[in-house]
Amino acid sequence: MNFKVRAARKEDCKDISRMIMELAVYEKMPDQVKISHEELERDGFSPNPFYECLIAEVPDEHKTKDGYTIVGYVLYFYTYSTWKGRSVYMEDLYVMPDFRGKGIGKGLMAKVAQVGVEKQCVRLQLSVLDWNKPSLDFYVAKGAEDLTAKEGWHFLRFDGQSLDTLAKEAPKD
Amino acid sequence: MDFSIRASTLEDCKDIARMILELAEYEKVLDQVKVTQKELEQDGFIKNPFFHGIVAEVPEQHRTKEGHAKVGYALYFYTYSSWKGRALYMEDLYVMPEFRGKGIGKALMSKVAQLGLAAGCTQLNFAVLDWNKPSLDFYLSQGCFDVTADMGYHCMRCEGAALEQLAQGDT
Repeated sequence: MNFKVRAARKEDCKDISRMIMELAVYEKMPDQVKISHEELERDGFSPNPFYECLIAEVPDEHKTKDGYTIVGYVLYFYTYSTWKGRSVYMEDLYVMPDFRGKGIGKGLMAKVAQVGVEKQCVRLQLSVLDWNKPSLDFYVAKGAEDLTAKEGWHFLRFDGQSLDTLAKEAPKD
Repeated sequence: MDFSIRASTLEDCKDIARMILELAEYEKVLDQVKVTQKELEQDGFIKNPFFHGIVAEVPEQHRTKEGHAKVGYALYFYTYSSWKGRALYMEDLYVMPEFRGKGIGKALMSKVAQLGLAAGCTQLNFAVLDWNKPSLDFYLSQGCFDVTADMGYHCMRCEGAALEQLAQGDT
């Protein structure tokens, strides 16, 4: 099936938002999605954007029964390793179920790797839920290593009340 | 002990590079560090910087025997959660051993949280090695939770030849 990968435009945020929700449903956490296309528009299309996004589009004759031609996306941003330097983090990679197995996911991920390498990034990082075997297998097949299993890395997080409390204790300037 | 926290400047990169190596030694991976002072200067002080830094400084009378007054740092950058929006990632938090136990680490981390909230972030994320019990205990005591243990997220990475092959579409 013919498909095209291109940089997302502001107008694509409604489709990206739709697919973010579809991915959250797949990850069994739809109630966790708190942002809408408005935040995506504000945060991805300013002079210093918080993220970049690529979308996968199919020609009109392959659109979904609901009329969508945007059938996949990858959302990523630049990070920094104090050991190795510039890196890229792939926050989301998603292809609508009917369009899987056609190389679209691989195409999106390869494009992020290419963009990263052009910007002199030396790492591409992401996270996967431990029960998500299809995705784990996909990434390992692409050469990714599971650093949690291999080296013992854990992600920790402050949010909500714990983040407010921590911030209140900052020294005065 | 008196100390002050401020945003890092280009001139701080030499001390930050020094402390990055000290932290890598603590994490038992000194040979892994490839970033130099020059790269820090290039990557942290451009129009769209790859990171931001804050440093902890002590007054002259508390300098180390080598004469260092910059005794701790935190390095962070902005990230994005497709569910929650703007977020912060704290890449490094470090205080020189003889300056620990004085609230400097906590002050650095709180400052990062404050800066993040001011920028509209709703999460402060970071990573810790599972054997690093002193750090894990410190962070958990400050109120964070373990996303890997509680939610099952694993960190994955592509680098070196695997990254090159992926970029060329060869996998």
